[in-house]
Amino acid sequence: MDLHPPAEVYIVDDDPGIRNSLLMLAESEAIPASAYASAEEFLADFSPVKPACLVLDLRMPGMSGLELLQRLRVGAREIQVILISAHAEVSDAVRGMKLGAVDLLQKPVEPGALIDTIRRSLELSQSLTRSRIEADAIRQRFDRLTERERQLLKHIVDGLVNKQIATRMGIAIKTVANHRASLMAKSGATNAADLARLYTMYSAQIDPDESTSASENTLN
Amino acid sequence: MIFGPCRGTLYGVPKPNRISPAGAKHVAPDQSATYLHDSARLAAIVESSDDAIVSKTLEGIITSWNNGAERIFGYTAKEMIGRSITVLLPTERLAEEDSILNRLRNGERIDHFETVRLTKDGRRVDVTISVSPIRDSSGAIVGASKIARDVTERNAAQAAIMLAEQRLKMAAEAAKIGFWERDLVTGQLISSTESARIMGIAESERRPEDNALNIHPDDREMVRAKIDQAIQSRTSYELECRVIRPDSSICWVEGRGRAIYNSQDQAVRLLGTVVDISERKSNEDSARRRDVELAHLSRVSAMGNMASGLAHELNQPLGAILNYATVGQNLLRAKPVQAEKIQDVLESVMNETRRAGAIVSRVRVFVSKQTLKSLPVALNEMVDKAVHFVEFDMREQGVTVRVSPAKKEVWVLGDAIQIQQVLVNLMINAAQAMDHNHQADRSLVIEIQAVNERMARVSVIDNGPGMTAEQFSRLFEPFYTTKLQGLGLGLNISRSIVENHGGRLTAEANPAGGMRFSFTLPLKPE
Repeated sequence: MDLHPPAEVYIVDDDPGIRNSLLMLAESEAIPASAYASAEEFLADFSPVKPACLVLDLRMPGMSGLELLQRLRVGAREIQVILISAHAEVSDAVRGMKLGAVDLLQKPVEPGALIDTIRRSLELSQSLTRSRIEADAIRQRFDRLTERERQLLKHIVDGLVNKQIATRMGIAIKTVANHRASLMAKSGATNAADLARLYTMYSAQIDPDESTSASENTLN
Repeated sequence: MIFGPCRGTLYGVPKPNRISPAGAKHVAPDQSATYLHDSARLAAIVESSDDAIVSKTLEGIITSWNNGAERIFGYTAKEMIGRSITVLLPTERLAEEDSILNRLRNGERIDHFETVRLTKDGRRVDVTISVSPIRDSSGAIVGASKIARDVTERNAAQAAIMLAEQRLKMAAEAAKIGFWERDLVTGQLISSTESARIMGIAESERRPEDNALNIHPDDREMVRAKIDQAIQSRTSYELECRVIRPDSSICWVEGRGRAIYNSQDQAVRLLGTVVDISERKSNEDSARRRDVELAHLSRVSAMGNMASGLAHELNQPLGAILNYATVGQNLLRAKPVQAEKIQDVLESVMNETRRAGAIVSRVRVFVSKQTLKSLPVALNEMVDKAVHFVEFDMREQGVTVRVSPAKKEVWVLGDAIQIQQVLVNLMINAAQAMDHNHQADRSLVIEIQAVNERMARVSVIDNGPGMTAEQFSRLFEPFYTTKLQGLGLGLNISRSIVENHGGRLTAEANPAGGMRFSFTLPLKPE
């Protein structure tokens, strides 16, 4: 399995038998794994930097699976969560899915099915991570633009040509061309269409609600 | 008076102014001294006698009257001598005198004739009368001597004894108590009819042999030991044993008794009672069986409450086994095969299988139907088991259970399963009570402690909403329940289990909120 960047599965279950067997199962499938006995123990160790998938028992003493899921949604959007429940209660399943869990499996979990789900989740997490890395890069590039270059960018994305832009901005066409060359270099865009795509991704990060559809298009 | 000898006192010393006794004149002077001496002695005896000694003519005229007669009948000698004896006869008995006199004339003696006489003040006295003829020197019957004894008191005492015996017999018959008495020297046994019936001895063959023969062989030793102990300690014994009847049927008998000792402090007789308690025993048996059945039923129903928790509990090892098996397959496919890792995996599979097996057997034991046992039970350990039993159920309901064990293991006497049942029942109740409240912190504390040298106590303390006054007052009422499901019998059954163990089940409000249910159990004697 080619996992780039390297991904890991976290197992959180209070039952030592289940915890240990899941850990060994993941390892025998060559999936890097760590196991935790409680939600608290996991949170203390967790930093949301790499692609990851969490196999989470719903019912645990202390912090429950759903509570942990809720916390993760705020801080770590790329980690994928697979919920495991003893006897799925519909309300738990609904809440779990609303909180963004990828799946809810019932005990005893079929190992093959679980491994498949883990792989899918890790791939998803990786792709999300890659997108994030790309988006981060774009943001960094766009953040370096000057005020003039930003105005110019607006006009280009709006589909204006250099002459129109020169008139709007009250500057010489040659100056527009110079700014444009600098803008293209800084943003790393190959042409106007590419620049528009990058800009959409960038503005999605600044104001996600305004361009949800654009961001979704980008990710899928 | 012609019957001189009958005058004065019967054997009285002839006084100078009185006519000499009939035979006196024939007595030689040398014999006369002896005679006088004898007469004086006799007269003294007569005078000091408690009995009435009277002489009379064949016509019934009194010729002598001693002090005893005066005491019994109230008349003095002066009043009576010369009067007819019939003065003493009640009207309805007047004929008696004629018949007595007739028999006397024929030379007959009358011995201990029981009759009634009148006293001077008109009282009736029970007397026995002995009458003997008095002959003159020629042998002719000239009168009669009569000795009367007052038996009023004796008769009354006898009547009282008879009445008491009658009453005792009636009471014994009504109570179906059998009496028996054994002579410890000869071994002779005397049984009352009831005792013979109970012990299975036909009346016709009340044998003087050992009645222990009919006692059930398993009980014989105990019976002997108890009786021996009672004889030695000079106390009474009380026992219950089985007796085998001649028709081979078994009868339960309650026996009590004690020994009688002679002046040398040796036990010489054993007195005892026996009561047939077969009916009571069989009632006790069926009551006990019913209790056991009910307790079993409630365990089965508690198991229903715990079913989802148990299913979960069983799914854990099963899930782990499935995972390990997959790991095993993966390891077998890997090159090179790592035998050691596979060994580890198989070891884990075995452990998980044992864990599943333990859950199953715990359930099986819990719902098994069995007779009540009274064995030493380690309380700390038993509580741990019970808590483990409902662990998943508690977790499902978000309840944390904390056990506060006794510092030193506490041993009580009882039936481990039933005690566990009480605890499980109280924990499930508490968890459900806390569910009513939907509060965040649902915690249950189980406290074990020895209260004193005789009792131990287990308390189940919750932090639920507690109870209303009405709920509290109806707590032990059968079929009263605050739950949607449930018969409302759990607490009742728990209480009867605890009480059957000689303990008490109590409920009180917890000062910090919630309820505290406690039950006590007798400690195993050291």
